[in-house]
Amino acid sequence: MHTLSVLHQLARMNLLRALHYRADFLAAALGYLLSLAALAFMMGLLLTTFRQVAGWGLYEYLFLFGFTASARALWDTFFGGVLRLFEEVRSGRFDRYLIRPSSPLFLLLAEGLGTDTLLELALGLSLVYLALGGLGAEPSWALFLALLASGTLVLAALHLFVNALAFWAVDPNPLSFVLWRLDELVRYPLDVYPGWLQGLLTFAVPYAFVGYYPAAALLGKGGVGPAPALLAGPGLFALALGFWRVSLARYQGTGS
Amino acid sequence: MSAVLAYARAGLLGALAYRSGLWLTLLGAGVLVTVQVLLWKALTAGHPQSAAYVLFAVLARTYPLVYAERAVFDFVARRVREGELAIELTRPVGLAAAAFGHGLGHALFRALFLALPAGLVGLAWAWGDLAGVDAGRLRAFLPAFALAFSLAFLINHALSLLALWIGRPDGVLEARDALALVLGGGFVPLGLYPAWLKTAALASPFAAVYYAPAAALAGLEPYPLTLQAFWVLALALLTLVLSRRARARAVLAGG
Repeated sequence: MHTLSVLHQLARMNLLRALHYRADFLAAALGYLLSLAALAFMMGLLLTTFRQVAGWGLYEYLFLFGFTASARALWDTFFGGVLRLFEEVRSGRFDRYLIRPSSPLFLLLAEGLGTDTLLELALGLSLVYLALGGLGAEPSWALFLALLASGTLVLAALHLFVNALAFWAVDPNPLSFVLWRLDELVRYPLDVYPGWLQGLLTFAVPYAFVGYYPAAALLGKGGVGPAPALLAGPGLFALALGFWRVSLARYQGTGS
Repeated sequence: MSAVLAYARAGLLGALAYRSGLWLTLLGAGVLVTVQVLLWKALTAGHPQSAAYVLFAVLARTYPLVYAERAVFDFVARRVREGELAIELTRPVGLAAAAFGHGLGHALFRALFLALPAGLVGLAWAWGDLAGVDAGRLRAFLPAFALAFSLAFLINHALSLLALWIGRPDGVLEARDALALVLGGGFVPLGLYPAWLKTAALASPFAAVYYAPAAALAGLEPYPLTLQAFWVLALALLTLVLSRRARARAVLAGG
């Protein structure tokens, strides 16, 4: 109850802050939405011409694109606050979280609750809906939501793991940057890439569990059922939480 | 001219001084080029023009790195934001010339340390698709690239001047990227556009920046050099008008 009350207060504060700077809020929300919509449009154009990419047709691709965009929007909304960790640790402001009567990670995430990602989520889900209509498919919505939650947790785990390195390294930004660059790879079906790269995205930096494996399972493609994708999110997030706790125990403050 | 070169030198030295993040940017560019090559190989497998499309994908992801768009944009926008524009206005060189020199220095740095290695990564992936490149295509590429570079500078400089009106024009960059993606023909070649979209693309300056040079070297449907030149002139005029108004506004704002 206490946690929910804190979450409500912080979410309200974030929304009020966003509404105070309306122009920035709109620019951030519309700018990214425009880029995302433009990319979806261009890929749609390409697949109308070439019919398929590595066995994925237009609507199958749009489903994958919409699913991944939705997972990313959810991650950005609920877990994007973790991106502030490095700056909080470096500046010494992280100490504030340690003296408050809630979990430091919860406070960090709650303070960073996204307010400009709703349009992105709406676009992602609209593409999913459009694609399912085009395919004439009717997957289980319960399975869809469970896989979406799991995909979101995979993203959360990857970013939590990399950002928790702020407690170990002077500057973990390079690794965070690498993670963002690899994120580019999940815009397209895994089948586009050579085997070693597919292995990398499945086992080393398991981005493939954000969108590709869940989408393939929902569309009955690839011969891999939903189980690995359902387990990947909670499993990886539990591991990342463990790493967070170990890392937090190392924290000594900046001394400033 | 010597003032522009001095700014170019300062820009190059500045870029060299802050090169610690270079390998990360390079990694990003390498990943981007790799993804595009693999995507286009998968998309066009068995298509008669597959090699041209793959080569186009490498080129269109590589040479725009040289445009140093952010450096050109920041030259004015950052100074306005930080209240340093007045210093720049007291110098005996025009704002546009200074921004061009600054961009040129960054462009040289990015050409050597970013575009070249990223291009080599892309060409390594697309080695078998280079067969059609000859001296004739290279001759067509060079003027197209020179005009595209000038045009990219004019667009980004004009956008940065908007800082005098809207304070933080960074959101405009997102809109520019989205427009460039759809109308630039750098992601999907113009030949694959439906007629209405192709007309819209040719009626915007973006295709002259992102499509024209790559199409010339990859041997795809050429973009008229005269149209590119027209866009350079049109944007130069627009920038001139915008500069005069921005300058007056800077004095009014006291910044």
